[in-house]
Amino acid sequence: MGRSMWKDIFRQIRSTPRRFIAILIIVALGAAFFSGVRATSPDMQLTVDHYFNEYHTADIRLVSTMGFNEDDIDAVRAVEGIQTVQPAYSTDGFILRGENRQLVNFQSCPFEAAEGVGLNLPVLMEGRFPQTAGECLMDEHLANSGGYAVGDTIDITTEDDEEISDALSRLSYTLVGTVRSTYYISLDRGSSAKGTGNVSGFVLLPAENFSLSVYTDLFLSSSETEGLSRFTDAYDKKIEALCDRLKESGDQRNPQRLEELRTQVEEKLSDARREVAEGEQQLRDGEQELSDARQEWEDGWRELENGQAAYDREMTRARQQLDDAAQQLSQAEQELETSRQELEEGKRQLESGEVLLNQKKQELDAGEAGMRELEAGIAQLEGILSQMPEQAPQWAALNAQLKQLRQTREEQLPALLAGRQAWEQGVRELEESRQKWEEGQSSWEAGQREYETGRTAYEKNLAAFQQMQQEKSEELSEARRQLEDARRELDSAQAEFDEKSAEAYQKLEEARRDIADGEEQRDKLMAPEWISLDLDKNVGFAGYRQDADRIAAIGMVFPLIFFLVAALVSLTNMTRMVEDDRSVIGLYKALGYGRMTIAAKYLLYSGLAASLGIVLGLAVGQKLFPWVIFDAYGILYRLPPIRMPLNIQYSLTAAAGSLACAVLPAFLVCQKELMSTPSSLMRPRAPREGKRILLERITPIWKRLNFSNKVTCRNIFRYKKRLLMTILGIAGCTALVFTGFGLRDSIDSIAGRQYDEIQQYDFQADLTDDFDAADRAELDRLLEGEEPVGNHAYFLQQSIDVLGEEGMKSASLLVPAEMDSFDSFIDLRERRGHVSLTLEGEGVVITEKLSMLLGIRKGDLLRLKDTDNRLVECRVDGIAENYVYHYLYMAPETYERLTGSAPVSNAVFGQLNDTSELVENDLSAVLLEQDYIGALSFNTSLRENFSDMIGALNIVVVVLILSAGALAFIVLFSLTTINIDERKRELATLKVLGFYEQETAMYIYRENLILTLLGVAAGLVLGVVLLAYVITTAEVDMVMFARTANWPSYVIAALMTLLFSLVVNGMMSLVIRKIDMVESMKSVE
Amino acid sequence: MAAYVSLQNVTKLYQMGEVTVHAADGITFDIEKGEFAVVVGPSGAGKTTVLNILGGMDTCDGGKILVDGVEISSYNHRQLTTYRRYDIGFVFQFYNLVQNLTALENVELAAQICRDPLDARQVLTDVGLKDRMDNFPAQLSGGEQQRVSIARALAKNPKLLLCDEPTGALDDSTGRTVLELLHRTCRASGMTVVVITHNQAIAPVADRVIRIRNGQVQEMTVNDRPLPVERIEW
Repeated sequence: MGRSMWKDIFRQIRSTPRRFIAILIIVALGAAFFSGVRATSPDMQLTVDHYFNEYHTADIRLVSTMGFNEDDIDAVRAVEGIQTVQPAYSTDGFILRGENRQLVNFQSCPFEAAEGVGLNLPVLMEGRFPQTAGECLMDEHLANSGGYAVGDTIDITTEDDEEISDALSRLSYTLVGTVRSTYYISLDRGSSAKGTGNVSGFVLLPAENFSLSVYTDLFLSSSETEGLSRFTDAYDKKIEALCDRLKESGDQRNPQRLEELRTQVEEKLSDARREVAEGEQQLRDGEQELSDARQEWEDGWRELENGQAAYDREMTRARQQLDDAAQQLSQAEQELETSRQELEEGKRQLESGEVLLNQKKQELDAGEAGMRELEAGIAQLEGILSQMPEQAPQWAALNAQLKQLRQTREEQLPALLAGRQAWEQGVRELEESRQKWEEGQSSWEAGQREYETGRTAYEKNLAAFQQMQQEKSEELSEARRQLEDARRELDSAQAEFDEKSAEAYQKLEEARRDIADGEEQRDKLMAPEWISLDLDKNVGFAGYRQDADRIAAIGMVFPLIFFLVAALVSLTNMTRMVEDDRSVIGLYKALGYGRMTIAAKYLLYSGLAASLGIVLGLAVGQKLFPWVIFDAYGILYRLPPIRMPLNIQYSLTAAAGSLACAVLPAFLVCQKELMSTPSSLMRPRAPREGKRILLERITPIWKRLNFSNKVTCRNIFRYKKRLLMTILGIAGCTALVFTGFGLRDSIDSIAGRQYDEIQQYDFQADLTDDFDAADRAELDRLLEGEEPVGNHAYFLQQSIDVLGEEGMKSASLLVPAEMDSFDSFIDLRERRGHVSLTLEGEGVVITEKLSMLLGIRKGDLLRLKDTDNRLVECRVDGIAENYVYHYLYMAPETYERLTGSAPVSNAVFGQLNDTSELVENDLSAVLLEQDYIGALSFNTSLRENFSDMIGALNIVVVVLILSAGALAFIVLFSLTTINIDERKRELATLKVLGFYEQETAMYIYRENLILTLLGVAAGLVLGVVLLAYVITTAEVDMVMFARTANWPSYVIAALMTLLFSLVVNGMMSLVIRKIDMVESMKSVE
Repeated sequence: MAAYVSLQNVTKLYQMGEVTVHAADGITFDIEKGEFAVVVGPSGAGKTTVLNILGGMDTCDGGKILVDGVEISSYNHRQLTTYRRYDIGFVFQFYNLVQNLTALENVELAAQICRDPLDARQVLTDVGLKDRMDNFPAQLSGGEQQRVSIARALAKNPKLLLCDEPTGALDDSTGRTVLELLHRTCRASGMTVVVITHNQAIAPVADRVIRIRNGQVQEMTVNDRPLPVERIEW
């Protein structure tokens, strides 16, 4: 090929820059989009793969229902394909700073991590690794949100969480570094059974601080996945196989572990039992001791009582005796007194008798003396008388005197004799009386003496009694005091014992309950289960993978549109160019150039444009698209900068595709010309004939069109190829924009439909197995008491496997406790037409995605495998609209019929009047405090995940729209350019005829407008198909995207395309204005 | 009283690289109303420039152009378009029919933008194409196409009918027929017709002949007794 040929090509380029640039740009777009968007997903994957490799991210996280001991670890180590086993501890707790209490996940971090040894190495962002047990690392995200900085002290609080002390031996750490973890590439930090359940982040502590008896996690790496990307099926297969082997190993190991556990539990139980027995014995001993003491005391008391009684009796008797004695004494005394008085009386009588006697004696004596005197006197007188003669004067007188005296004597003598006698009698009597008296006296004296003796004895007795009484009384009261002391002691001992024993009883009761629980647990003790959590169970990774897949899905379809359009643009442009060059081709032929040489010009022209476009497209596309999209996903993920190696495969594919799209049409187009003879080529080509179009035959319509529209219509159909291309290009643009918005809609609307329309509850609390009627009453009261809580209802929720035509999927079985309120919690309806579904029939209702995945239709039979691996068959009565997860709904009666037992509610669903974070956190705190509540989840947080995803998708949508805009622009630009080029003469003629600029432009625009409208219409149809494809490709098993876009997306897609079209037309009006009327004078070439 | 069409010392310069070409170098001529005028000259003499300027397709750099007493040389772009629209009928050498429109539609295309158009069908009947009205240009012969072109110009009922080499692309007899049509139209409707041609042979049929050479009017002759078209030698 000669130099002149090259010159020709370059001149051609210079003279038709728009054409060249159009091809260049559309190829660049195609290449950029293909390699860029398609490279994004691998780049995203590569970035994470590299990141994970660098930080030795574990392939599997193995958790066990019972934790792992060393034997378990050995068993895992022995599994084929296991490279590294890294045991780890993990526990949740609260860190406190001021008022700010955050629930975090504490994880063990070996010191070797600093040297890059181990798995799941922390990605140090700031500071250093811990060197002592008191140092810790913190999640960068947590540090930022909690305002922690390196050097701060992290205090773990035991407030409302005493258990943390069981898990961690140290509760205060110095923060020495902030980290990211490859295990948490998204912002999701998992959940916890503590507090609100909302984990704010993780804190890495040196392992020695954990005081747990078993490891909670085993991080495993596979030796078989070396060099395999974690996003590949090959990797999945290896890991799946490894998980299977782990399961096998677990199935072998776990029964042993169960035995060990049983033994352990049994040991503990028997220890506990022994302790309880001992405790009981102690209690009994104590009781015995106490009752002995009490007995003893009571004996003492009784003795005391007896003593007292005896004492009282004795005293009484003694007193009685004394009293008797006293009485006797006093009687004796009285008697003595009487006898003394009598004696004295006697004495006095004696004395008076004596006196009387003496008197009488004296009288007697006096009488006798008188007598004697009388006698003497008589005798004298007698003597005298005798002497005297009787007739003495004096005799008579003296005889009279003697007679008197004799009389007197006679008179006196008997008396005197009687007196004597009486006196003598008296003396005798007196003597007798005296004797008697003296006898009496001596008897009295004896009595007196006796009495004195008696008295003395009595007094001695009395004194003795009194002394004894005193002594005894003292003795008794001493005894009483002692007893009372003893009593008090006893009482306090009793009280103490009562208190202690109550405590002890309580403890014993607890211990017994513990034992009972332990026994129950032991009986219920199931073999521990190992659960392999591969990376797809990791929320961050799985989400990222889905996002990468989604981008890949977009990358699958969209570039094809670009390639198609690139081919069309190239075809149009090259057709035009070859047509323009007819005469030149003829000339070359005439000059003797070979066909290939001539063709080479066009191939080179298009090839050059394409090559430049490819270089530009690859360079920009592979750097820009991954970067922009990855940057968008930065909202969701914390990752190192994206790796964007020049992807050879995609580059080559893109280059080949683009080149083919550009060059092939050129080659095909010039074939016809090359076959023609030079002479026919030198002749101007006959203008394309005008033709009547189909529409003209529909007279009613045609007649109504005004002249301009008729012309437009005919022109539109005049160039069918261009018509097709324009419509395709515009349709592609509209479809892209629509798909962009539609994709956003379909994800965006999920949240609203799933969480507002279908699942009308706002939170779900899982109930523990021991939830009973009392708990239920309490929970009812609690929930009714919580102001923000509206209605609540009980459900049985259970994971089950559903078997259908096309395999098995796990789904969530949901059985309402009461059918009445079911409607207000879950709105079962069909997606199309929103026809309500009921559970009243005998069958079940399953969700749409599940039915699609399993190939089950309404009326089909499906089989269910429950947790006990029993298979039951039931009929599907309805397919319900649902977007997130799979559900299978059935009425309680159906459940009972199928399983033979009534459903036991294990979850409570509730509605909230206020779903603000504050309210939810409060409620969360209240509910999680209840023992019977296991876990709590709010639909609000689920919705938020969607919002974040939408945020990232918005960027992708913008990318799509910009690309679509560019596409529309290029297509319209080159088509309009060609249209104008081809019809320059016609337009010049119109100008000559006096058409105003506007009218001239409209002559073309009307066509463009109609084509654009047709393209938009076609594009919306294409868009719906494309969207459906992208959605089904991009969605994952567990989620069904909404199948329809919202109407604004249709409108926006249409309007944006129109806008692009208007912009292009606006630019083209300049070109039209520039058309020289002189063109009309030129001959047809 | 000025002439119906009057060019007064019209100049037009083209800058071709470093060379300035005087396409029109002080052209002055008048044409009276209803005249059949022929502007004749060899290639590159400046006839097309005259045509462009007179037809309102281009502006002059100097001098004055008056049509029906209106100075169009001072018109701006839009006024010129309006001038073309209402006052000028243009017949092209290569007919310039819109291929996608039938004969009738081509006429209507022009007629629809005019204030006072003639009936398209009538005009087509007048030019002898009554039976070919619904044919597309490709289905018509060169002469027929040119007649459609003339009909299109006439339908606008213009003040001035400008014809650029109207017979240039036609064979002898067809050219003669077309010329005959133009002449007849001029005579019948009193339309002022200006034919621009390099063909000296046409000159004898004209009322006025303006010979241009090197951008200047070499000679302007008024032919009091123009020959009938059929008598001219081709």
